[in-house]
Amino acid sequence: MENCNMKRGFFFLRDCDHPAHQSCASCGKAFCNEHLRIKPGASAPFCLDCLGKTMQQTNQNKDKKVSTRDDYYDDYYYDTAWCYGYRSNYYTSGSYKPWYFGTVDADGSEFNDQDIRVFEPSAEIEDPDAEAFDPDANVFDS
Amino acid sequence: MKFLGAISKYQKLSPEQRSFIGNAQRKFCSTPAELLEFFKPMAVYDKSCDEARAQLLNFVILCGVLSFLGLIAIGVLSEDMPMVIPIVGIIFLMIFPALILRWRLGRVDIHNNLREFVVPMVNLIGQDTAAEQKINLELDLSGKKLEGKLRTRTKDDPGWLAYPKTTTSIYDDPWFRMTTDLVDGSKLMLTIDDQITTIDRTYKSISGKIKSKSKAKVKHMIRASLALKHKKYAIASQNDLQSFGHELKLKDGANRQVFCLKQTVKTDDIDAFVDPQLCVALLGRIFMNVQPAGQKGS
Repeated sequence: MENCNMKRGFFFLRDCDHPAHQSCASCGKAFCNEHLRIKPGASAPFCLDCLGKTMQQTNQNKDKKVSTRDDYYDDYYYDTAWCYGYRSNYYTSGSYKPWYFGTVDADGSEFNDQDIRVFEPSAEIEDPDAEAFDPDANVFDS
Repeated sequence: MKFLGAISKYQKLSPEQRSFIGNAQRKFCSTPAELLEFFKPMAVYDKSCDEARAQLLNFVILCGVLSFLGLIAIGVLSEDMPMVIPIVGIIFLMIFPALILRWRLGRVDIHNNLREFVVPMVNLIGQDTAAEQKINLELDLSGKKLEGKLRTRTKDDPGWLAYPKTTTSIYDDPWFRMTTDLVDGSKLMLTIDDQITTIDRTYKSISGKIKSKSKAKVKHMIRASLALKHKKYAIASQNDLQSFGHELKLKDGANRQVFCLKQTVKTDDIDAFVDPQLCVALLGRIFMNVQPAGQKGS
C-alpha cells in the first residue's frame, strides 16, 4: 500500500509514515486520514496542504479583522490544518527554507532541493547525554 | 443574539476549562494534541464571548438613542398616542439587563492572547515535536495591571490644590513560557514578558476645570532560545552570525550551543495580542543561519 504523501512539520519536514487511504480532490495525491479533511460544500476530501492554501487565500481576500471569521474558519484556525496553510505562506514569503529529514524525490514531491535543505543522515548521531536545557542559561539574563 | 451562543459554548466547557478561565494561571506539561484539545473549546468560546459583548454594547447604545428620541416623541405625541410612553419605557428598561449580561460575560472572558497567540504557537511548535513529546507551558493571562505584578509606583504630587499630579506605575507580566524538545534534538524555550507603564495625570485645564487622563504603554519582550546539539549542528561563532547584530546572544556548553534572539514590540493597547509570526520569525532566523555538523566538518 502506498504511503501518505504529506510532509509533516514546520521548521523540519519529514515524511508521514502512515498508509494512504484516499486521494485529495484537488492535487490527486494519496494521503492518510490524518492529513485529509472535508471542506464545507464539498463531499470529497482535500489534503491539508490544498485546504490550507485555499483557506489562507480566502482569509486574505476577506477583511482581516478577527470578527469576520466564520464558524468553519474558527474550527480550521484552531486545528492542526491551519499550520499547513500558514507554512505554505511562510515558505513562499522567502524568509525560510525548511530542513528535510529524508531524500528528495524529484517526481512526486511539491518540494524540490531549491525549497528545502536536506539534513545529512551522517550528522544524526544519537546523543543521550546531551546537556539538558538549563533555564538559567538564558544568556539575556547574564 | 450572539450572547446565547456564547452562554451555550461556556456551558459546554469542562469544569477544568472553566476554572482556567476563572484564574487564567496554570502550568501545563502535556503533548501538543492534549494542549490543543484543552484550549480549542476555550478559544472558540472566547471569540464568541467577545462578539456577544460587542453586540450587547451596540444594543445598549441603540436603546439609549431610541430612549432619548422616545422622550422627545412623548412630549410631542403622548396626548394623541398614549402607547408611546410604555414603549419608550420598555426600551429604556432593556438597557439594564443588557448591561448586566455584558458585565457577566466580561467576568468569564479571557485575554485574546490565548486564542490568537497561545493556540497557534502550540499548534506550530507541535508540528516539530514527536507525537508523545510533552510541552512545558506556563501561562498567566490573569491580568496585566494586578497589584501583585506592580514593580514600581512613583507619585509626583506638588501638594494640595497644586497641579499637575502624576502617578507612574510599572508592572511586570511574564505571561508566557514554553519549553520543549524538537524532532532534531534541539531544546526550545520561548518566553514573553510584558512591561506595562501607566501614567495617570490630573491637571487643571485653561478653563480652570480639574481633569484626569490615563495612558498605558505595553512593551512585549519576546525571547526565543534554541539549544542546538554540537553533534547535529556546526558550532557557530559570533563572526558567522554577524547579520544578527547585537540581538543574538550565544552561549557554548559541552554538548550544545545556545542561541538566544530577542525582539521588543511596543504598543499603546493593553489588550493587544502578540502575533505568533514574531516568534516564528525569530526561530526561523536561527534555523536559517545554522549548518548541519557534517557540512561544516566540525
